[in-house]
Amino acid sequence: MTLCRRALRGLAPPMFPWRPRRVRAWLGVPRSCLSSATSTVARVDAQEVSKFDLVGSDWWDASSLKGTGPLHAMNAVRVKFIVDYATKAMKLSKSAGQPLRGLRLLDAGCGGGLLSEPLARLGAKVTGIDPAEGAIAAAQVHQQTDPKTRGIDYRRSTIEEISQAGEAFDVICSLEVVEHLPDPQAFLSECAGCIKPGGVLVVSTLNRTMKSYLLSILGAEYVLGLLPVGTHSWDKYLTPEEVTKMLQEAGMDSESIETSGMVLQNPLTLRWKLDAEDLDVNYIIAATKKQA
Amino acid sequence: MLRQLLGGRGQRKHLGRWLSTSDWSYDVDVLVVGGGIVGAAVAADLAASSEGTGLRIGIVEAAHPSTLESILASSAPDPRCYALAPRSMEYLKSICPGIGDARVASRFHSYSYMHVWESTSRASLTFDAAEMSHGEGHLGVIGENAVVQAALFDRLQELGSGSSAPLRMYIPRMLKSLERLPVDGLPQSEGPLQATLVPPGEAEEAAEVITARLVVAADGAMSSVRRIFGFSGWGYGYNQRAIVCSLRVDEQATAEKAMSTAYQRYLPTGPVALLPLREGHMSLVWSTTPSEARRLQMCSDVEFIDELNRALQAEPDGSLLSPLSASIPVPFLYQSPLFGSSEAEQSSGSFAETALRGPQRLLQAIGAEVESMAKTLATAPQLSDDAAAMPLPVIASLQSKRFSFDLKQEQAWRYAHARLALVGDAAHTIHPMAGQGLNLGIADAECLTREIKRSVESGADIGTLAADSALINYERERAPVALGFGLGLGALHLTYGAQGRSALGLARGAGMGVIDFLKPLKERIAKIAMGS
Repeated sequence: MTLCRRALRGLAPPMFPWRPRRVRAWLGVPRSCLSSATSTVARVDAQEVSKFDLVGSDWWDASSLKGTGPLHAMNAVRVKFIVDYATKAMKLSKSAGQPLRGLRLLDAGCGGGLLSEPLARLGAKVTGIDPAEGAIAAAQVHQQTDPKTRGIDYRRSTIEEISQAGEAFDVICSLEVVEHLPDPQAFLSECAGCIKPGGVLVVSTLNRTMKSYLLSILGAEYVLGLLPVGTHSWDKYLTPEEVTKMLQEAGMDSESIETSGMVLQNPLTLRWKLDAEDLDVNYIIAATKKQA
Repeated sequence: MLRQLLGGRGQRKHLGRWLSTSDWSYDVDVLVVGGGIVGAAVAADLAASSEGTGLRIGIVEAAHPSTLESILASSAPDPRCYALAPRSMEYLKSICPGIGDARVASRFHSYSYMHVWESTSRASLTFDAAEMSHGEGHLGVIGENAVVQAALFDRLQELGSGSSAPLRMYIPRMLKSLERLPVDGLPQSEGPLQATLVPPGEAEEAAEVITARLVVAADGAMSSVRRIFGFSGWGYGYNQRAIVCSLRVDEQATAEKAMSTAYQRYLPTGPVALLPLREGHMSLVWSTTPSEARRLQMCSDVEFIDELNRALQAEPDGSLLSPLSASIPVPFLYQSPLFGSSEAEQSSGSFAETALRGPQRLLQAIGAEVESMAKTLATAPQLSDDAAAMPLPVIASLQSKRFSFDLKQEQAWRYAHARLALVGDAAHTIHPMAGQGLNLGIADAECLTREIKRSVESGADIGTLAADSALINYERERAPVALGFGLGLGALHLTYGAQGRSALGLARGAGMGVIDFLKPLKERIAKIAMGS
């Protein structure tokens, strides 16, 4: 009974026209037309943060039902995209399995460190920040399990604090984060402010399409139970055009912006692949900051 | 809470030692246990590509292999030979350029024909490389064990020389124990592995402890890694023993064509296989019942050669309908990886006789009904004129001692555990009748190294068992193939256990005739055997 009711609630956008905000969002109407009830003063949504605190020690458990499974499987393509783009944009030289050697990298919204650890193994000097205390604690415990990841600097912090401290990074990654924020534009602007000239900003999120609703919310949350119900709110998803505009507003070089979709190549082996054309569900977008 | 009880974050007591979580590090990233052909291939491939991956490799082997120079200097061929598929040769040449060297290549012998026939009917199957549409020119290559091992060892020495070499050779060392390091944040069953290595014959004090991210167990069918962890599998003994030796043919009596043909004849007691080597030598693998094997092992060289020639040259006999041979394998699950086939040998004889009497009678009854139809197919001249066309070798003398070993089939349940991968015979052993054991192992090595390189590129921890990790992908790719081969050969063995005029025997003969007749099917089977 509860499942049916939950399912009906989830089907709200196409079926219940008396919720105009959601219907217009479904039709792809620009976000500026939507009335937003959340305030832009608080840059972090406490309710969103608590979702990631609840995961606890399950961040690194491959069979966890708290939603981190897909993130582990996606790592291969996310890391590949970041390394390829950074190598091209910053003219890095490949050396003995450490393509990101010497780079100062910030993982904004690192969660349990799922992305920070592979990037540290590839040679980057990683700082991971996340407002969720439980996530940072889990990350700090797990980083001790590999000598190569012991150097990661995890802090329970936000981008505003980093920006205020005046720190600057070569690369900032914020993957699967912006769809949980009340004010993504402000966040991206702060990130851009912390990047050195010529540095790179990489963002990944989900597209706001019918397909992404069917797959990532109905499919992943309700049907397959890969993520806890309520992990994602579909109206917070951003289209690639919106993110591109936000990056441009934030001061990134519009000619350097590159996007790629991330698609499940094999649902049985959970192998993902990069697909430059298919941005319907998951996509990753990178931009370079103009040289001074 | 436990941490607080034991006093302070990061301190953990284990085995009487205080262990801080931050005072251990990895000595090597990949530790290959076992320096046989498969283990050496894994180590050579990963070490050669360490410029791009940054991996540090270690290899452990108890015996000190001979150098290539000393092997090439001796003219007598190693009795232990392998039929290497073209794909295996390609891979070996890519990781070990020394195998493509002229002097080493002269020790390999390529064969263009394979002739399979039996002693109870005129049915036969001949594979001809010229008929294969993809035109390799040969079906495969017979290589001597000693030559391939020595070439790989030379390559390892090359990769292991120098102070900043990516490869560390722990040769000769024996693996004394393998333990998991307890680490905060990881379950005990997934901790990093610590190997204790001791030079053979020396005391415990000389032991060194190596911590590795990933251990590759390539130490053969009697794998000590499997024994230490108690990994189980399933398998059965074939109730057969194989006799292996190298021979010299009578060059006057043997045609040129015979010297590039691999022969396999199914006798009632089991298959006898001859693999052609260079300069008039041949390698023999004669699988037969344990009592026959004992007799053949004991008899004199002259008698042995006579028996062998008779077995090859004898006309097909029309033996009377007889019960299914007592060498039916008795499948059972076993927990210990060390399979004692001698027990099975004693018990399965009587078990087969008593338990299978019922089905035997049923088969006899069915066999009598279909006998005439199958007999026509099996003996029809147009399907069997190849048998007359194919020349047979005449054996002149023995070139080596006769070795013998038990035959069994074993498959491990899991090929990949946390931070541990099983490759080659440590993961699967199969009947030598198709000569595929080493080819499977080399394909395992190729797959595992490819997955490890891919995993390193994405910055992952190579020993993890997460989705889309190196170990899971390796197991997913290789386990079904090895299992398929194992079961397929088991089925073939069961089929050939039947005597001539039983229903199964006639169906088998008919089947062989049909496969020989249908060229596309024959080519497909040859392609599978060649590993493509």
